[in-house]
Amino acid sequence: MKHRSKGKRTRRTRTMGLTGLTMAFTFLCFLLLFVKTGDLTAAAMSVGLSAAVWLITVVIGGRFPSDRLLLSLTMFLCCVGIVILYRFDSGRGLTQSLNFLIGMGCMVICILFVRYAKKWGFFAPVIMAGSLALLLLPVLFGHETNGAKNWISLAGVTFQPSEVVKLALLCVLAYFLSRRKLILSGIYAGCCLIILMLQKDLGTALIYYGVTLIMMYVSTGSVTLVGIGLAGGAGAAVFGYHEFAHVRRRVAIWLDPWADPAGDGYQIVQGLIAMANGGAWGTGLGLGNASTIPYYYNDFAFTIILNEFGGIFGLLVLGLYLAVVLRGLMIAHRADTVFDTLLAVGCSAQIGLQTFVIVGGNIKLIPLTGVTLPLISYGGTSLLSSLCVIGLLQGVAARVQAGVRRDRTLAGLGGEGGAGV
Amino acid sequence: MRGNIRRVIPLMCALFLLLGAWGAWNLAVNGRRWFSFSSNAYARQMKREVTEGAVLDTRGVVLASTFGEERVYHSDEAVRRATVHVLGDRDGNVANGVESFMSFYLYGFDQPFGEEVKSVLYGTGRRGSDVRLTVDSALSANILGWFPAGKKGAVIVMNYRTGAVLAECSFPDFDPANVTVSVKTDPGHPFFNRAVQGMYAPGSTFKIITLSAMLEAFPDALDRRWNCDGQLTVGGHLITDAGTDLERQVVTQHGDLGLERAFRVSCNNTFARAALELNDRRLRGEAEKFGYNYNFLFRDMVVENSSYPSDNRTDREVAMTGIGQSALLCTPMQVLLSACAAANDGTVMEPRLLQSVTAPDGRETVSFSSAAFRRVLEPAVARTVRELMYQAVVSGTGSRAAVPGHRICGKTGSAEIDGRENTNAWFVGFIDEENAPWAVVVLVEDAGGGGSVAAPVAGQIFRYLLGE
Amino acid sequence: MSQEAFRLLSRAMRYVFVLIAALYFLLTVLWMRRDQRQWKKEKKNLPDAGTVGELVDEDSLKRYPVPREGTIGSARRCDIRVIGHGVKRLHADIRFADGKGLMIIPARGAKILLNGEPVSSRACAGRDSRLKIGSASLVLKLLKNVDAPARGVFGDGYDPPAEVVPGADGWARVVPLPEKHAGENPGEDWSWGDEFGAEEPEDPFRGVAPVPSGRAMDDGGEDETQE
Repeated sequence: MKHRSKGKRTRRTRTMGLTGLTMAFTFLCFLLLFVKTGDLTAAAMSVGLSAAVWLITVVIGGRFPSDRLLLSLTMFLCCVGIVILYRFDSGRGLTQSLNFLIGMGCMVICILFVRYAKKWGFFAPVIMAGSLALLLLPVLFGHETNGAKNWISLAGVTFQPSEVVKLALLCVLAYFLSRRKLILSGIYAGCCLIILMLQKDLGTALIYYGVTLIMMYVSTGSVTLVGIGLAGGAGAAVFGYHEFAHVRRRVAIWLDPWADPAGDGYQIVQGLIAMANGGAWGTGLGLGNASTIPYYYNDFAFTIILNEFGGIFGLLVLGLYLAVVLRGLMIAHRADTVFDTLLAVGCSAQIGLQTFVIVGGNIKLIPLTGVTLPLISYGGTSLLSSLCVIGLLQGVAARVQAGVRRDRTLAGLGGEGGAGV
Repeated sequence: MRGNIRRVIPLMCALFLLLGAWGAWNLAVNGRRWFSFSSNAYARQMKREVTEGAVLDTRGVVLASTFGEERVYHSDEAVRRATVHVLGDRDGNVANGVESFMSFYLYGFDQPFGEEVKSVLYGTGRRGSDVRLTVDSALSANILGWFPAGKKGAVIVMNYRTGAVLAECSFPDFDPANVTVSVKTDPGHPFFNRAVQGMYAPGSTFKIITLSAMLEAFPDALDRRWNCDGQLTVGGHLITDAGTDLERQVVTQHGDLGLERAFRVSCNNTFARAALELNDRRLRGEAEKFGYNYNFLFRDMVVENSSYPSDNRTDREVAMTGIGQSALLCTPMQVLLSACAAANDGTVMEPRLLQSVTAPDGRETVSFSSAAFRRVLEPAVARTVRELMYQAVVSGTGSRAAVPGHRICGKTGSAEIDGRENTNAWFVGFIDEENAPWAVVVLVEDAGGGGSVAAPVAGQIFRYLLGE
Repeated sequence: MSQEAFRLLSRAMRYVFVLIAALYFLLTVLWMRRDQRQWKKEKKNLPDAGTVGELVDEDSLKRYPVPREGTIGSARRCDIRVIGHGVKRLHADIRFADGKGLMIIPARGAKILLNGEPVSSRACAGRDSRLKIGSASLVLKLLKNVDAPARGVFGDGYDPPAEVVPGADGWARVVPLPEKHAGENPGEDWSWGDEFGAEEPEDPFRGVAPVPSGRAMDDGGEDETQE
């Protein structure tokens, strides 16, 4: 017992180390914003948000089965997001904080769901059908915003079904691939992709496609399958380029935004300029003017970080996203059921690919798409669904932990040599 | 299955590494360029709080400095007009002039944080760094005088061993101290920097590239004999040589000649045939080596890309390309760089404008550094081209650029322009001497023959540089 | 605060923020590395971790560790690699279900006999069940504390054993799993152990005879226990 509490203490110290850094960061940032504008809400946030971080660490980390490292990383990234959103618009910042708290709750629900749910055989087909229906809604009833028709309003709240379906995709694919039902999974993923393309939500389609491919590779190990998938994707890309004018426009803007710096290319040009203004160390919080970029709060959130906090900070944030992904893959590696493994791989791939696609679009590595930076971009559905994905990942981690515990118990009572002849 | 996961890990790492590395590289290479873009509101804001540093020429002559709220230029109007396209102006009328392109230094964005702290603590206002250019204002002012009045065009003078640009003039020019409405509405577009942004057909100056391609493709190129009968028909189109006037039944014929003489007298007949023998692929490859179709990303200036046409490459077009017509388009800077390849043993140096940057406390923070842009030719080939260019000046079309007692090399060009009576006059050449490593390109639009209009201007520049 | 002063302050704070982020990143990396090392140590201490028992070949006496979820077949990537006449590349999937035993799902066209009866769609194998896969005859030996019935069960339903056959070494007795600590603090127990301290993890084998090394394990499938 004494030995155990000593271990607990060291563990707590480590968690507190990271949490402390997050709290310090949040506190200092909001203090700076308070000093700049005299806005009392900012001062309240500096204390409030830090306290919330601490509270969540203690409550969720302590009371619920979870992966503390993932929890901490998630909170740091969310805090960075809240800070940069608040800096430009306190209303957005507060909405984001609210969504953050709600999202933490959703995350816990997802953790418990994955940890304890047993009848996946029953859930999976239901979720599959439901998600396809949900995804079809915007096509039938939705309204078009900014070239993509993927929002619907439900009782005054607008949300993107594709973000919810993302979760369903992960669970359903993990289930069916673990039961070796490749064709069914392929058809389901294919339907989702087609519906998304009808909605012109190409960025999300790209991510769904990547996640499916990675999950299929991990479950089958077949390089030929991946090859066929890549070829199909390339074919679809070429087809899309020839068929759709808006795809051509996006690619043209990507190749040379300076050809039309005041019109089509304005967004990306301003983004690059903001990057240049930031340099390595940034302009300083509150001093940059990234708000000249249209939709800076969701499409170009990373650029805001590059602009005000600098390139070095930006690289570190990318490193933290990578840490989330690698941690997820580590969890997948340790899982003992195929379903757990695939679910963890899917979640990690999802976060990794989404981050890659949006940051790539921001720095003009690839054409800009409409996806958001997980955890940092403004948007209730986006933040909630990213937190749910992390929740699913933590759920798998919880199952792994339970498995370890069970194995140790088994071994502890196993006596001589475990399984003898 | 765990093995598969292990293979996904490097994939994810690679993706993120790609993001980080690419972003960092892109910012490092292009950051200053994006920063100086005119719609950078942040930079404009920050500039208001800093006193702009001064811009000096290579000898220390102040070209522009700030007194109070005003930007004051050189007192001599000729100097002002001759350097305005390099200098640019505060309002950004001239694209990518030093005042905007190097605003990073001029407004002190390069200064470390410590400087900011000091200026606040000591209460002194912030001052940007001074920028010294490689440009020679005296030379530039003289060029203004030598260029044919009333004509449009450009002149660039460059040191082909270091890449330092001594003069960059574009005509029509204007007075930055006196920008009136008539300047802004002048149909000649005086704000436009023709030296690095104007796109023209290079005319016979392209024969330097055709010649290089011949020398590289055929080891016996110089020994071959050609027969110029003055009238070559390719694909239904008649190619003639300078001086031919079919109406008066005057046909210039060069008869039996080798490449040396063909280059010297700028024989279209021969070079058109040579282009056909090379075929489009080899000629394009050679042009691309010299910089055509390449996205120039020079550190100190923005040079428009030259383009070698890719559509409709019929025999006729290829033949016309060989003599520098067809749909070829390039800047005077490209023509100059082509000659510099021959001058500097095959290596083209990156053109540079920045001599040094001096911080307000007197420290020199950036010094001149020359960098090779590209190795275009083997030294042996470069030497041959040099020799032929020498002959072109000694006893060929470029004779009016010669300076007695000195070794001058060059090539003339007279580019035909659709719908214009007169050709664009080109001359590109250099002084082939150890202590005078300078190259010059002169373009006079709508003026006649390169040898008669452009070469004399170059000749005067050479004389000045050699101290004659 | 004056604009000038704020500017200076914010610009000074840039370095602080980068420092915080760098420290955070560093701690994360250290955490992950230490965790990985801890995990490897755990795996070494629990060689049976993740397995529910063994399949013993009656003829060659080869022992195959049985994972909680895996595949049986002749392919290299199968978890239980059985090489024999009539064994397909992917012969069957196995999945352990608490209380029911080891569920066996043969692949299409694969023949498996469980205790003499052919398996059609799926079946659950209990302790000491005999599996005939191709020419190989295997006996399922489950770990003592694993929750499984004796002998085999057919279909998905749970049939209570007709009789419990006691073995000489006590193998046939089903010992219930210790109670899950539902009432206690789940979070505290669900940990990787002493991930960050320098202390050794609680050694479950303290005072217990070591597992005989050199067991005749077939190196089937992926090297899942090694990192």
